[in-house]
Amino acid sequence: MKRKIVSVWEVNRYVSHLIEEDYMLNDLWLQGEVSNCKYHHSGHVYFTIKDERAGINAVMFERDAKKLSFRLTEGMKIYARVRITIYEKTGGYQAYVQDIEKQGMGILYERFEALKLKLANEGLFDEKYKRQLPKFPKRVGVITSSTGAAIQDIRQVSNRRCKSIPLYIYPVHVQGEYAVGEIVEAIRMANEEKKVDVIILGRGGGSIEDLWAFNEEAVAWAIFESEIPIVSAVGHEIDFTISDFVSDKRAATPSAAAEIVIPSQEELEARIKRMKENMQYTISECLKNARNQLNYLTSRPIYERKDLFYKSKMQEVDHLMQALNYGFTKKVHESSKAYEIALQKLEKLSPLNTLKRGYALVEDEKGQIVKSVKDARQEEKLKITVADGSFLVNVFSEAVTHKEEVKHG
Amino acid sequence: MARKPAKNFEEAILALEESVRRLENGEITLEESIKEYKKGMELAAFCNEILAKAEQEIYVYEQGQYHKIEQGD
Repeated sequence: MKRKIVSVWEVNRYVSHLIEEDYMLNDLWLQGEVSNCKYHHSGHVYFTIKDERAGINAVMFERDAKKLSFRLTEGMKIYARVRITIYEKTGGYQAYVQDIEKQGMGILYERFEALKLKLANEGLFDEKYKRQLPKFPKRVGVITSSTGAAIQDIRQVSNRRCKSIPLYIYPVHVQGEYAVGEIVEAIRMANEEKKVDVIILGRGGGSIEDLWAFNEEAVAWAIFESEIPIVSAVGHEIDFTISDFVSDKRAATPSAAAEIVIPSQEELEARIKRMKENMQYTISECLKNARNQLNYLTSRPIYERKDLFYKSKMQEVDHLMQALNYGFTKKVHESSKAYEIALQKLEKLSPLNTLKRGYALVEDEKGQIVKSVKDARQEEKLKITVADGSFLVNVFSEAVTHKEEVKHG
Repeated sequence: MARKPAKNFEEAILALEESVRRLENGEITLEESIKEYKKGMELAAFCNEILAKAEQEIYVYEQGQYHKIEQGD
């Protein structure tokens, strides 16, 4: 019998090819338990996937292992997405693990979807129930773990943004058997106390099980029924929970929630400064206009009598302007009243208004106002002033009094 | 129209905005303008005072009571 001699390596290589060509072995989900798990310092993870009857060596390389949101532990029930390969050096075969899901996750996911649908149908996510967040909260409530990363992040961000807004922390467990009860109670408490006018509810990142309290119906209803607006901040950007849907606002992370809730002190101060400058400008323009108006009135030729009264008012206006420039608001206020009255009186007294109604002012050559027929002689030139100007006239005839007119008529 | 004095920052800043608006509008008398200006300045001072806190207050609710904690904690 002729012997066919091949090298060990060739055999391993041959079997390796056979397996590689088998499409079924190239991509399959294995169900089993984690055993003999070793995290190598390189980041690769070596373990055995086993069930009651058998085991298979498994390796998960660092680039895949780092994507897992949890750490493998002994006895953990998993689904592993694998490719079966031959390790050509030893001829042993192994499972190359690309992804792992914990068993029961599928059930959680189904529960999540079912509850989401139910609550959506009951209207808990409706936009019309969303409450407005206060623009400048008086006090901010925080419902989270007192030991987690979330509270540190929120404190840091809010301290940076605006120190004037106090934080009220309601510590709760955010995972484990007490979490749901404590969260519901804290929301109820905060509503009863009415100390805070907005609430940040959340926690830092974790596995789907860690975040599960925020997917419970009781928590959803507590959020929905809260009179105080609630910002939900659970986990990272990619994590969505029922709390996020029912809350008045969803923040990607606890830090982001603080950014949303706490206004920026710098921005507010800048806004107030702008408004102050605005008012100062407007009021000084106002006074300038008033002074111009006064100047205009008193400088009309018709106004020959420059009373001490108005002169003193002019001085007052100057004082007002000065006071305003120096920011003596109170003084401005006090003296403005007198000034305002003066201005009004001036307008009332001004003959200009009378002239506008069709009356005329008559002056003789010396500029004396003609009040009586006795003031006007024949051939005398008189100056007539109407609303928009004046002209000269000659007196034709001797003046006649009203009484004489009646007699002659 | 008599307006209530502002009790908190949000009310104050809204009232301040209203004062600025009324002043800019120019539809009020000089006397009223000065009043509005004075009021606006007071509101701005009130707001700035609220913002002037040097340290944020933090309270933790424990066993039915609020405990103030210090920044370093």
